[in-house]
Order: sequence, then structure tokens, then C-alpha cells
Amino acid sequence: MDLQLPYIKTFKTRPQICFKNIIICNSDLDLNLTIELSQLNETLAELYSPASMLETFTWINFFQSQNVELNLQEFSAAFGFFWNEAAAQLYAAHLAWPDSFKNWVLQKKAHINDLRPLILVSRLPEREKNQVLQLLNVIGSLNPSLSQGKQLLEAFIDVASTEQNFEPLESLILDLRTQNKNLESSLKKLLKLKNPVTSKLDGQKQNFVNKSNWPTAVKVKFQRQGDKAGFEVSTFVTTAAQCESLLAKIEESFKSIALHLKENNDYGI
Amino acid sequence: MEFEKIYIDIASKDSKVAKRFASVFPLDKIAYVSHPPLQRNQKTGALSAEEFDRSKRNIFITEFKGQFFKRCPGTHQKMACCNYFVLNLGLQCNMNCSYCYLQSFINTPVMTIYSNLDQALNELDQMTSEFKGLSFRVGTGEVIDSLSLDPLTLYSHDLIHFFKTRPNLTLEFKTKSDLVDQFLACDHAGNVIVSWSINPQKIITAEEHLTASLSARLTAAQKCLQKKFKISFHIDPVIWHPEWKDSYSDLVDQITQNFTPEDIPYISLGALRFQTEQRWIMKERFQLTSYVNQAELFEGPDKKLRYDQNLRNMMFQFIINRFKIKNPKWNIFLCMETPETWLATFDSMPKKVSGLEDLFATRKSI
Repeated sequence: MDLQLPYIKTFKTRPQICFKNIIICNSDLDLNLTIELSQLNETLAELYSPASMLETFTWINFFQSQNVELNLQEFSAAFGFFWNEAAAQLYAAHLAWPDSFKNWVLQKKAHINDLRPLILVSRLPEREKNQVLQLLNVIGSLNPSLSQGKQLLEAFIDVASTEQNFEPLESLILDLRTQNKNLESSLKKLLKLKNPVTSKLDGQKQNFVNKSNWPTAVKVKFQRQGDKAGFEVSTFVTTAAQCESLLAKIEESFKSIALHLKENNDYGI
Repeated sequence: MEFEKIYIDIASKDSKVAKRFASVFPLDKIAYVSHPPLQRNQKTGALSAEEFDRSKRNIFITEFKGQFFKRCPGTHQKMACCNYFVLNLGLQCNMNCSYCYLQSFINTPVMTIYSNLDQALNELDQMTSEFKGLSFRVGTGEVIDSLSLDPLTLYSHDLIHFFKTRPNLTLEFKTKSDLVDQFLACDHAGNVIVSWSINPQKIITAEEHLTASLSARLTAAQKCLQKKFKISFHIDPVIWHPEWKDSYSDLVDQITQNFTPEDIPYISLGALRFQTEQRWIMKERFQLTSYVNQAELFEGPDKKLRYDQNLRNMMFQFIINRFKIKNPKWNIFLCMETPETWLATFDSMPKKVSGLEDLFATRKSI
């Protein structure tokens, strides 16, 4: 798909349509028509509506490059796309997106709300801005699902906006490019960078819980569930003697964990 | 905040509030309209950052056409909440807090002030006659600050007058302003609470733009107290920052040095929270590196972003302890918190916490 001349379709029942000698839609019919500027919106809407966000952006970019003055609200509305200030900001941002990412956006039919974090990129320092553009390239080449791509973008821009994580983000991008194609592990790394204090405390708790002296019949799993982090203890018991023995041992572990939790909640002073 | 335009719905032009605005603002700022101004296609979705900013600078005076009384949004089955009714006198706020939940709530492009306060008061009369004998707390500061525009609307006068003859009702103004002089002379029945949402000055400076300073809010509270109005403080939202213990200690000290537990029946505490989708407009509108935009937040059971539960417990316990050390009589409760946090903070649910039983008593028939 050529993004410079947006998604030209070939119609079997309509004439070929040109704008300033540039083909807007192809036809199997041996007929040629030229778009009247006054009918631009209607004609394109007839051919292409509904269009996704990126398709609309691409048409706008194309006509603006042809020096056509567009009423963006009316033009977008003709495509079934509603222009607002967020759209305007995202449109400005999209001009810098690499083609691979644009293809991903097009393919996933991403909407403004999916890509809203990208509005912030213009406010980032130059080096962080470049990092985001590199990430967009990575997303374009790894082709994740829309949901995964959104999560990655949001977390990355969150972390980039702290302006304190340049190097970890560099290595994350390098990792994604060269070795680790697993987005899940990258997301986990990003969440650690985004929530450094909580992640550190979670890690400490997890270590302590795992190293505690649990009976062999007991399974312990530390986990974060939204705004809570804790550990799940499970076991399978068949006799009263087992119950009594396990209870005594578990009680010891719980006591030492409780003490640890009381003494190690350092959210700063 | 300087207003760009005051739009007055022709149907409201004879209302007291419209006449007051028309007399206060220059002619070129007033426009009489027969339709809501600056309308936008609703399909364009939530307001953008610029649209939201603009909505704070344009006022539309019109009638509210729905039901005025609503239960406080804290009444969520997974939250412990304090029986509170909301009377919306308008929508939007002329102050500019970075964490304000209106950013994910409002999709109208203007600040609205409702002109039919009389209808709201009729509704309230109907409700109280339907539930005779029950006491109600009614707050006006949910989707608009109760007092930041009050020198213009003077709604406080009508409300205080109305509540004066209805002693089983309690009116609560909730504000971050220091604008109280306009109603101090009003005769009242002792059932008006003027409450302030407060935070350490460091947080006010960083996150609560265009609001009154902490000392101005406390001074305004003193003025109200002197005129026998009840006063209350909401330390909400508590916002973590590296020096949070120092900041909140200082805040508690300022309160306890200037007020006694007898002066302030209740103080509420709540931690930073907002809808997940709100975080991008916050980042678009405010410093990316602000405390709120850099906060470590996780989705809670009500789908709002909140601090880790342990951190919330710790901050609440710290603040409560600081109050109790000064005087054990301080009554403090949590606002919009989970039962788990209540248990971790008080070791009890609100209905069983000494001093809070009445506040949280269930109004079964409502």
C-alpha cells in the first residue's frame, strides 16, 4: 500500500477519477472523470467512507500537499471521522511517524483514543522524542496486536516522560530490535521503570516471602492484583496430624513475614 | 481565571443569577442565546485539553432540566461511603487542579451555572417530606466548587436562608477558595457546614492551580467559625511526594494549632484517585513531571487508578496518628475507600468507628 497516494481502490462499476492528473480511484471501466473541488468531500465519501483515522489523515495530507484548502471538520465528517483538537494534534504528530508504524496503525484501524499518548511526544525532550520514534519502528516491525501495541506505547511514553530513564529505554529498544521479541517481558520491564518504588518494594517482599521457611507441602505465590500486592498460600492436607504440623510451621513463616512487612515499607520520608 | 464570555440562555434572562452576571460584567462579554453556545458534535468524543481549558473561561447560565438531587458518587458497592446527597448548582470549575475528576466527566464546552435554584429547593422539600424524620446531608461542591463563584451567584444566601427553617437538613459547602465574606452576615440555624478541601502548600502550589493558599483557606475557616458556621476539612487527595511525611505533618500541625476537635466535627481523608482514561488529558494539560503525573498508580476494584493499598494505608495511618497524638478527640474518616483500607487503617468498618457511627448510619429507606 502506497501511503503517499492513499489506498487507491479499483472499482468495477465506476469511472476512473483523477485529481490534478493524479489517480484517486481506479476503474475497470474505460471512463475518466475529474473531481470538482466543490464536490471533493462528497466524491471521496462516496468512494471511501467510512475511513479509519490514518486513512483520513493520509487523504488530508495528500490534498494539503496539493494546496487544496480543506475544511477539516467537514472533510473528516464525510469519511465518518470526527475532527477535534486531539485529532489535529495527532495529525501533526503522525507526519513524523515511520511508514512501518503507519502501516500498523492502518492495519489495526487504530483510533484517536488508542494513540492519544502520542500527542505528548511533541513535549518530550529531543532525545526521548527520538526514542519514541524508534519504538514506533519496532512496533511496526513486530506487528503486535492493537491492545499489546497500545500497552507498550502507553508504558513507554509514561516512562520517557520522567526524563530519567533514557539508558534503560535505549537498552529496551535494542533488546526488542535484536533479541527479545517477547513484548510481555518488555512491558514488565517498562512497568518496573514506571513504578520504581512500588516495584522495588514488591521485589523485596517477593524475595522475603519466597525465602521464608515454608513446609514442602505448601505452595506460595507472590502476586500483584491491581492496587494490592500479596501472596497466596495453598496446600493440600489429608490428615489431622498434617494439619497440626503445617499450621505450626506456617504460623512461624507468617510471623516473620508480618515483621518484615512492618519494617520494610519504605515509601520515603 | 478571566472569563471570555458569559452566555445567558434567553429563558433564564430574568433569573436573579443572570441579572447579577449582566450587571457585573461589561456588555461586550454578555451574549443572550437561545441555544447552548460553542456546541460540538458529541460524536467527537471527550473534550480535548484545549477544549477543556476553554470551557473554564466561558460561562453559560441556563436552567437545569433534570433531577437535581443525586447520591454522592462514592456510593459504590465496593466502597464504604458516608450517606451524602449532591446538589449540583452548575458544572465545571473556575479553578484548575491537575487531578480534577471533571477532566474525565465533562463533555460540555462551557462552564454551566443553573438558574433554577428554586426548583432544586422544591425538590429538596419533596424529598424531605417523603422521608420525614430522617436527616440529610446535602453538599453543593461535587461538580462545581461551592464558593469560588459565589460572590457572583450569591447562591449561598438562598441556600442558607432555605436551610434555616429546615434544621433536620445539613448544608455543606465544599471549596478550595477563601471566598466566604459574602455570606458571613447571613443568619443561619447552625446547620451549615463550610468545608475546605486542603493539602500542604507544596501540593497546592504544584497541583491546585488558581486555588486559595492553605493559609487563606484556614483564615476563611476561622472567619466562618467566628460566625458560628460549622466547618470541616477534607484532606483529599493525599498526594505522595518524597517529603510527604514532613508536608502532611506540617498540615496537621497548622490545623491543630488553629482549631480544636470541637471546632471541626469531622475531617475526611482520601488518597489520589481518578479514572484510568483521565491520565492522558492530565498529562496533556499539566507538567509531565508533576507529582500527580508521575504517581505510581494501579487500578483499584472500582477501576480507578490509586496508589498501592499499602501506601494508602501508611499515609492515612500517619496522618491520623499525627492528629490523635495532638488530641485523641479528632474524628477522622476515609472518603471513597475500600473496606480493606478501612480495616487496615482503623481496624474496623466506619459504622463501628467511635465518633463516626452517625455519619455512616444507613438510610435504609432511601
